[in-house]
Amino acid sequence: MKPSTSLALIAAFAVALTGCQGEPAPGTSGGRRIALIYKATTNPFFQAMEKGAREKAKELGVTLEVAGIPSETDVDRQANLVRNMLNRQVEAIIIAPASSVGIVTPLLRAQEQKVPIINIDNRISKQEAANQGLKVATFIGPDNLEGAKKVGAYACNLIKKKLGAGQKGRVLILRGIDGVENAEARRAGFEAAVKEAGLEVAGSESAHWHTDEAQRVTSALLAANPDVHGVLCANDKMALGAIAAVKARGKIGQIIIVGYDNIDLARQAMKRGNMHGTIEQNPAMMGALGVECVLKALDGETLPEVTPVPVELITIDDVKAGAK
Amino acid sequence: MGDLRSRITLGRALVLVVALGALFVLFTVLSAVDWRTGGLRWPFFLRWDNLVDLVGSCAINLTLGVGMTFVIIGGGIDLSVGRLIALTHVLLVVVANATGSFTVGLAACLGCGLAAGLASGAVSVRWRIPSFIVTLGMMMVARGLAMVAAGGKSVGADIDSPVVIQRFLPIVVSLAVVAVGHVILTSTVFGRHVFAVGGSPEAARLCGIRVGLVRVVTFLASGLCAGLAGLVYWSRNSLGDPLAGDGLELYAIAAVIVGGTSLSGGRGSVIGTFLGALIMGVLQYGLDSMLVQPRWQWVIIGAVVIVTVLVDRLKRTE
Repeated sequence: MKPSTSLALIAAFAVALTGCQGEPAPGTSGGRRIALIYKATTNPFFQAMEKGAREKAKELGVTLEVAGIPSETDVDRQANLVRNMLNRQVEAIIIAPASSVGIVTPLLRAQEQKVPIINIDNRISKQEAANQGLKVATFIGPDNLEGAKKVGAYACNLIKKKLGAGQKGRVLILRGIDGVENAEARRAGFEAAVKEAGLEVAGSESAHWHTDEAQRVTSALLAANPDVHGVLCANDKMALGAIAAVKARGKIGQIIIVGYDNIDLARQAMKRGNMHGTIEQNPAMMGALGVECVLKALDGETLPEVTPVPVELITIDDVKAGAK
Repeated sequence: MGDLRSRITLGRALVLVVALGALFVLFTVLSAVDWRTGGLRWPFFLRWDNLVDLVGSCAINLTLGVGMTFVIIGGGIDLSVGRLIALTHVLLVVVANATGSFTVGLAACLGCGLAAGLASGAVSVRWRIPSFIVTLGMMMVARGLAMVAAGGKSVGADIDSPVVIQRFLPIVVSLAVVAVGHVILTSTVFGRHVFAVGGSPEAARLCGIRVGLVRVVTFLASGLCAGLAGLVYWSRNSLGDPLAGDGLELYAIAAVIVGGTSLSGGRGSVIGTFLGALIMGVLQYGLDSMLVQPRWQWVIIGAVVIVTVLVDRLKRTE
């Protein structure tokens, strides 16, 4: 192929693009068509959320189109999914953002096209939304601050009971991804609980929600602080990593480990006595609420700024007794 | 002698164009079916917005792929470009936020790409370390520095990209990179030297070509493309995300290979990479549009990479 031919090819491609201006799709029959866009498709938490949303959509006779990114953080890819859904001409979007900041720009186009946006799970940054003029119909999410305070206080009380008066308990905190709202809220909740109980934070690091990274980080923190009494993890996957690290030091059962999300593997760990508590965020209820709220928004109803999903403390005793 | 090897063979181009066309028709037809009612509708895949988004979604891979083509034809490989996107666009955002000037931010972004390319190329050439190893190290360095520059978390950009820039800058930048890359590779002395160096370094040396210098420049080109891809990333997302670009170097390498460039160097074309990147891009974008789960997307895209190369190989042995 000659260079001129190749250049012609590129030019033809560009021309073809401009020539293909599409007609609007004809009106669709039947119920509403709405999109659910989420992240971390392998995380059981989000799978439960998807299931809850699908069941609710079926019950209400709504078509739910679902797309997700496998990673927790691939902003660019999730932005592509938002564009895809708009091109598919969905009537509304429910989104669990991979980035509370980065998702604002792609969502602006939805707003331009008068497609209502329901924000679930990870709250869109208020500041960034205000800067760019994005308005979401409502935020549906668990109260992360409250949940972290609950499970943090539970862990601190266990430690205090074990140590008795006179000795000050020391804990490690494993944070999620800094700057992401739910990670920041959980960190604040943990810190508040530790302070309130009169304990001390011996070390605090981010393990980016990942199990393997949590294992490395915990190992390093334990090496530097051999005398800690507990590890507060911002999600269960990191708690599993912390368990592996604590096990390697032969201190399993002696160090109190708590997580967040109540995933199956965490419940197994509690049954074995390796972990002590977690928070159930009711992801299925969150997905279902998302669908309910989206219909209200489409009907022009004004929704509250925040629609809370109740959080629930699950302890090692609950799991062992088969109560929750 | 560079001329023969620098031209994508007609057969190869035909395979790629047919594959691209077939994918496009496939997704158009699929998008014309309303799965709820079984009826037909105007295929949304042909909507203007969709086509713009489609090309936009290919922009990063196109941009990286062109730089990668130079490096691979020259006999090297560059594993650092994916993570360099994170570093360069985070620098763009952080520097622009600090100085209030987009131009200064852009200079930092492109400068950083060039510096990383120069460092990889120079170390690899001067001390004869395989570029695979040097750029693997650079990938980790870039990942770490992106976190350092961003302060360990995503940074919002004070200067947001307007919607027009968001949608069209990626397309303009990537097509310009393809055009410029194509002209340099096929119509300049430097381009011929790249082929000579990749084909047989010893012969090139005997012909009086400064082999080391040519190789370093290919890495500079790749670094610059990573900087431009950083610009594209910023324009698409208005965000500094230190975790961006994970694994994109492998996508770029795949696009180059699908495009018919030889991994052992000395043979290849930018047009091939252009078509290869579009095939992978249309495939990924189309699968996303059809709501195919990511787990299946990996399987399908991987299989297509293998099949495209296989078809080419079978045609050649015929």
